[in-house]
Amino acid sequence: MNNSLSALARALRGPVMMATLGGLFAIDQGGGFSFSSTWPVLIIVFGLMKLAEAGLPKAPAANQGGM
Amino acid sequence: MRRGSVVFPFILIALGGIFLANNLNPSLSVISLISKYWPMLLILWGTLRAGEILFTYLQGKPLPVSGLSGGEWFLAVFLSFVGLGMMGYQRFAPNFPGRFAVRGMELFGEPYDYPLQGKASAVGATKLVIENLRGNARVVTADVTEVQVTGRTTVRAISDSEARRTFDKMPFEVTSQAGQVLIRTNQERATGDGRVSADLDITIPKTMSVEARGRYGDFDITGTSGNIAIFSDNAGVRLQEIGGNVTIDLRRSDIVRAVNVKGMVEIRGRGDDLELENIDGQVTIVASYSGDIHFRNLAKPARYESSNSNISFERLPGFVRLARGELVGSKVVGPIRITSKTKDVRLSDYTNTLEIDIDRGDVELRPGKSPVAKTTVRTRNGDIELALPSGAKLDLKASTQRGEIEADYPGVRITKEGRGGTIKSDSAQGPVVQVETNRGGVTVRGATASDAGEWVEDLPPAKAPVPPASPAPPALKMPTAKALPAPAVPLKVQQQ
Repeated sequence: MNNSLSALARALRGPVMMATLGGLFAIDQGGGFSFSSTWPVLIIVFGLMKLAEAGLPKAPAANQGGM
Repeated sequence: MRRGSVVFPFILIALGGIFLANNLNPSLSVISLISKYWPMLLILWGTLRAGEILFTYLQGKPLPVSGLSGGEWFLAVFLSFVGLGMMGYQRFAPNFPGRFAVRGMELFGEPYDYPLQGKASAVGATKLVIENLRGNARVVTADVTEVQVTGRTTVRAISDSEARRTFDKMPFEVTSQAGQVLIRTNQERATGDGRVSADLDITIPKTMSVEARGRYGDFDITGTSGNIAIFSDNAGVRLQEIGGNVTIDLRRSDIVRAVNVKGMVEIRGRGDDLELENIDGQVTIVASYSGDIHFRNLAKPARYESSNSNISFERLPGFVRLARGELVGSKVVGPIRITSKTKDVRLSDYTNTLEIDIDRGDVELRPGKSPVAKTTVRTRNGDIELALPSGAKLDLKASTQRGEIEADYPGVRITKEGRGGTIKSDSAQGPVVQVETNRGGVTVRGATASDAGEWVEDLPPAKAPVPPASPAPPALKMPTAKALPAPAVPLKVQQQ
């Protein structure tokens, strides 16, 4: 199969962003930092995910998950 | 939504669970639940998707190009908006949806506060007129000969200078003319009147009447011997120690509360909670109040008319409470008339005559002392229970067309007919007590010691009124609001 770690990072990007977004709203809700001050975290997380996508091997990982 | 994803079913289950919990336990509010826990839905959603993807990866199956589809993002953003809206709604006014907009407003700019101050001579003036579209007003009385106003205007704007410009368009006026003192905040002159509000603290002479018109904001008036008239689109009203008549006409309200009023009270429009206590004058309510309605100690005839119920009585030394399809009352002086589509009625210690006509609902009567009031009760669908004082002389006829019939009282006999039956007193002396249900049980029994004083108001006695927050010491600029960036950020992210 042609699954690389890079593809995994890319596929995970959406869900991770979604969970982060929920987390930030939950913090806002719980009376911690307000979303208006924590939203840059979203950019940072997005950047990190892109970085992972670029930095991780693109070729199908031979030792990972191959059937 | 991706085929085979477990996320959507999970969300459906969660939503179903919330609504089910709400139905089984009505004191839980769906809105407060969702407004509290909706971010958890996002977290759960993201985590479940991530889990699914990891699982797919470990199984070596082909990975999707992106973990979340555009449709899912759209749903998430929609959920965020709804959640944020509810959160704001909860934060700003747990009781009323009208304040939803306040949060929306804060999306656009920050609040800037400007102090307000003014006074005008009240010599020869008998009436105060408040014209303030948005904002709260608190009126107190003192031994003064002038009307004194302090307060603040809040302008929501992007910048200091824009706020200033808006504020400058609205001259604050306190003028005295033709026997009345007029307070005007002139908010209609500012564009987009949703973005300004003025909270006022007003001191007036003790004999002055007050007339207030507004679109949105609370009124709290204490201690005047004059009349009160309040007209607003959306207001909470709290009145105390009022010597004159009270007229309140609101299109929407979270609470109307009047305590110790010497004059008449007239209420129109709609709202949630309504509390009237120690009213010396006649009470007329032609309105639709959907929350708790609470009357206590009304000295003159009172009439309540809504789309569902009509209730009137002559005097109320005790209390009457209407809430959630139930009317409970004690120490009510008749003639009492209650007509309603759906209502359970429980009355104790009523005198004179009682007439109840309801379509659906149970009726429980404990007349208390002998002689029993002349009573006519009719319900189309519901049980009737009558607890009579011992030795009461009455001409009783209680019947059901279909239902159980039971009597545990001396001097009455049961006749069963078809699927129902009749209870009649042996003698036909004394006041006529006629109760009938088309469908439901009828019970006539002797009052026991435990019947006395069992129905108490389960509302806390005489809640202290919650006045609108007193304006904080005015500061020129108070950027306190959270400027919420629209949660459109993730959308852009996804497009890259």
